[in-house]
Amino acid sequence: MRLFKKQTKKDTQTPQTRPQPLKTDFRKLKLLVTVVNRHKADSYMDYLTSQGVNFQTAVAGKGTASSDTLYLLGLDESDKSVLFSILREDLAEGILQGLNEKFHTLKNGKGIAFTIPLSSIIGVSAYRFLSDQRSQ
Amino acid sequence: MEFQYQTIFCIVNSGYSEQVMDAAKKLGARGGTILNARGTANKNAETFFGITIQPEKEIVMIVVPTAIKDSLLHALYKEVGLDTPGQGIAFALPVDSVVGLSEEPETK
Repeated sequence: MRLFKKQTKKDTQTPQTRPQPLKTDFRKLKLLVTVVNRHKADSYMDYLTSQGVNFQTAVAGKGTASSDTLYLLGLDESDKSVLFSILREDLAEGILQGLNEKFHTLKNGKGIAFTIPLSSIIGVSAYRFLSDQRSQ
Repeated sequence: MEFQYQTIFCIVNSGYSEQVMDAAKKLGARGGTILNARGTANKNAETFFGITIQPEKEIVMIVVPTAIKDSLLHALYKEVGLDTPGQGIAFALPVDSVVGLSEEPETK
């Protein structure tokens, strides 16, 4: 009986302890900054959410007019939204390509997006949330 | 790892973002984004130095090639540095990858 119990303990312990370090895959995080026209911000936020980005903040901003003539005619749209999102390193490239495609195809959807590496973060649960590994 | 582009964040008193963009455009930057913000400088600093610290700020965000980063930071320091009415602070962050920059010729 004792032996049997010990064996089951071991059996239940190994699957519990082993996958944990494998499951929480510690990859670096990046800050993604996306600047788009304000009325298109929602569609870009939806896109980022669909790609597994759990955290994002939108800030209202203003673009600086690049063409003075267009500016005088009021043809340029200078109200912008700046989206700050945090994502896992390995997702960054695909999401940037996806955004780039939208920049070219969406009407009035032109924008710019770039990533900045994060150097530190504190909190395992915060990390899991930001890196989209909550399911555990 | 070398970074091709840098983002310059420049925090200035409200109303000085145009000076920032003028300096940036002179050095070849094509555009920037302005965010409104509020500074939280220490109240003691205000009385100690005898200067008024205006809480209303503007953050100007500019993506520039790494090659002109240093000269732009210097220009910003001169034009809107802490000892000018703009009372600005500028810093640069490395950008790993960027999409959506219009590839125009540098001469304009």
